Amino acid sequence: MEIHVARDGAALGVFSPDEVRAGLAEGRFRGSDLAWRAGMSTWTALAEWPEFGSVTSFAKVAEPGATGIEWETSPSFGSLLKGLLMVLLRPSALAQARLGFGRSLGGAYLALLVGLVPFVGLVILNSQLEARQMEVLAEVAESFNPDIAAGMREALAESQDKSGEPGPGILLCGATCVLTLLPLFVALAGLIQWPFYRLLGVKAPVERVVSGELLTFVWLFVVLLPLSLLISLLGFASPGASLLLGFLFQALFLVLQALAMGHAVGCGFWRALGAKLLLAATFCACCCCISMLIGAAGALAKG
Amino acid sequence: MIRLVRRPLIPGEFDAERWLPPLFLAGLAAAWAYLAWFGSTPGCLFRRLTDVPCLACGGTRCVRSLTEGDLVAALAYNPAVFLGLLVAGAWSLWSVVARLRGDSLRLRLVADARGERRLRWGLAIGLVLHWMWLAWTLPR
Repeated sequence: MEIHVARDGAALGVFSPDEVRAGLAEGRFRGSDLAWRAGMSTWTALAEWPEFGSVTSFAKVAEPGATGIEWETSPSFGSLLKGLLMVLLRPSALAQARLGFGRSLGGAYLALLVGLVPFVGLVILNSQLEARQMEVLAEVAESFNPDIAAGMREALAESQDKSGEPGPGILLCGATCVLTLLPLFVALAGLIQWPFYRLLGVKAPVERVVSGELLTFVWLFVVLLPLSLLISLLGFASPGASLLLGFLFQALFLVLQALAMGHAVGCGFWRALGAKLLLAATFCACCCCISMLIGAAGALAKG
Repeated sequence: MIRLVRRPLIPGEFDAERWLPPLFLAGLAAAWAYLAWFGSTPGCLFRRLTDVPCLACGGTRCVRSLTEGDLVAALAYNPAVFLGLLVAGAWSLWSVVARLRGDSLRLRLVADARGERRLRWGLAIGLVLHWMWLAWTLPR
């Protein structure tokens, strides 16, 4: 009869008893891996199956409390700050993290609170820079396609006619909306990435992918906020240089996050990067749905 | 080998049956509220730039046709969205019924290595066919 084998909350597949026996002997399966077959009421560790007892001396079942992030076992302000730096400096610790959804979501919101002041500053700076950077982009586009450049200038003029200078109330409201919704959007991005990981042959539990995405994205975002602020400030002196550095910053962020996700999901850097690129392609193909939702929130705020 | 099995939840596995029904209902409510408030979604940027539909093009029209009970038109506008909603709806309903009956077994698609390869190829071919269908038939 076929045996279902699972590890870390994710199914590894369906195997015959001989395949399981061979897998245990070769080290492909561990004694701590859970197994189930039709008729059983729960999953049990392979080490406890009498028919596989003679194959090898199994390793002890892994301690369920072991985790590489202190925040998960003893949440405090100090462990949160350590976690923020860890995602940047020691992402390999994520491999041992538990990555439960509730704790990750809480960690994401708290991290955003830590970065609240610089984040609001960034939103205000970027809103003031937007027109200058759009003008620089239109100049670049001019050399490739004058029609696109004309369209960009037209859209810019139209948006300036409509909105004028946004007041501090609107900006604060926008920043609050983004702060409230950002972790949920990031969790959604993790959920969308899960099938891409499957497509790339990575069998990770959906909760691990969602929570990993949530923690790595928001924590990295907060810890790199000072750099974003510097780049935005540079924009007042040279919008073009700031735009270019902004693109480089995005690339750096992507690489750092893929590195951290590779450890969190246990798939390595390239597959994590592949899943991210597939996500980016999906978002592009879905009519930039994030900007649409943020635009809708802005329209609601304006009344 | 690819088949559906009913098995207990793996310890630590994401409990999809617990979250899917409320998320599905919330998604329907959000879509209804959005369409009631704004009337329609903005045009597809990808299609505007390339003149070729993206994989989600026709999704709003598909949902609209579903709300009007026109299943054939909904399928024609976007087969992937139509089938996705159908599967999500059926799975949500199954989850609610199973919970009400106190059934702790979960419905899962399982495949061996060969089955997984077939699934991947099937998905890739399905997406290409879906995109070709949209490119040929979807009005602007």
